Amino acid sequence: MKPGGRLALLTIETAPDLSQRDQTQAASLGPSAVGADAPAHELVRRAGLQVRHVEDLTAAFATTCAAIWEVRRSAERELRAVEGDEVYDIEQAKKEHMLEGIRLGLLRRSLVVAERV
Amino acid sequence: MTQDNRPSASTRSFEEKYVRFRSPEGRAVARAALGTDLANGYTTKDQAAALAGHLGVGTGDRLLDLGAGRGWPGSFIAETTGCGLVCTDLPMEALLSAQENIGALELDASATVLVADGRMLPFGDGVFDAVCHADVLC
Ligand SMILES: C[S@@+](CC[C@H](N)C(=O)[O-])C[C@H]1O[C@@H](n2cnc3c(N)ncnc32)[C@H](O)[C@@H]1O
Repeated sequence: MKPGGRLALLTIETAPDLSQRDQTQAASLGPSAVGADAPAHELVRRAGLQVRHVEDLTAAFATTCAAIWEVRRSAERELRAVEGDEVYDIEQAKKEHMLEGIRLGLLRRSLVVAERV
Repeated sequence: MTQDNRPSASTRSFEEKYVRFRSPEGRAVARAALGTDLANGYTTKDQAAALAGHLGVGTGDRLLDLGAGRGWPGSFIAETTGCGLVCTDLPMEALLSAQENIGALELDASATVLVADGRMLPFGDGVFDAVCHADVLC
């Protein structure tokens, strides 16, 4: 990236300062890659970029996740025909786990904007 | 040392997902929940618009969308700001959709897609004015 160039990163991550037990539960409820050893903005800073903006988008994430679950449920018959029963059930369960992780305060979605100085 | 060039399980799983999402039913889900049938994460159309603002790109700038899937949110940002765009990802299925969409938006002259691993990008330093990265580690 050129000097002055910007990075915008949207990512699902575990909430900060979780106990080991909560961290393990968060990792089991979230996408496979959550569970880095530091929040995304810290990883971006360690990569040498200047963090300009960090925003917690968890509320919108919960709404979107619930909307995807609901839209899929309302098209269940068609989706089962396209995806097969196993995939349909797995995809719905993933969303349910994610929503549970958000509800328990274990998972969040963040926006990080950073600049190469 | 030999290198294993086979797609990883995660890439294969995304590839299968993109094939399923090519169906009208799959696209309809994304459109209803996210406001676009290109998205394969949780980035809504409103959030993509906010990203464009944060990145501050415009005509003459070059944006890299890393793990772009079907070109989201990069193609939206390119369409709305006039910036140039390179979309990278691993599953071919996703990038074919991204390419198709770039054509539909008439962005062919300024946008392109490339199979590339985000951990080992084939670009020199200082090529891009901005980078976006939406739900790539999911
Ligand atoms: C949840 S999808 C999001 C796609 C798109 N950004 C969107 O919002 O619709 C995550 C994408 O990241 C890609 N990805 C994961 N690891 C990657 C890597 N090492 N290099 C390039 N792409 C990667 C996957 O192939 C997948 O297309």
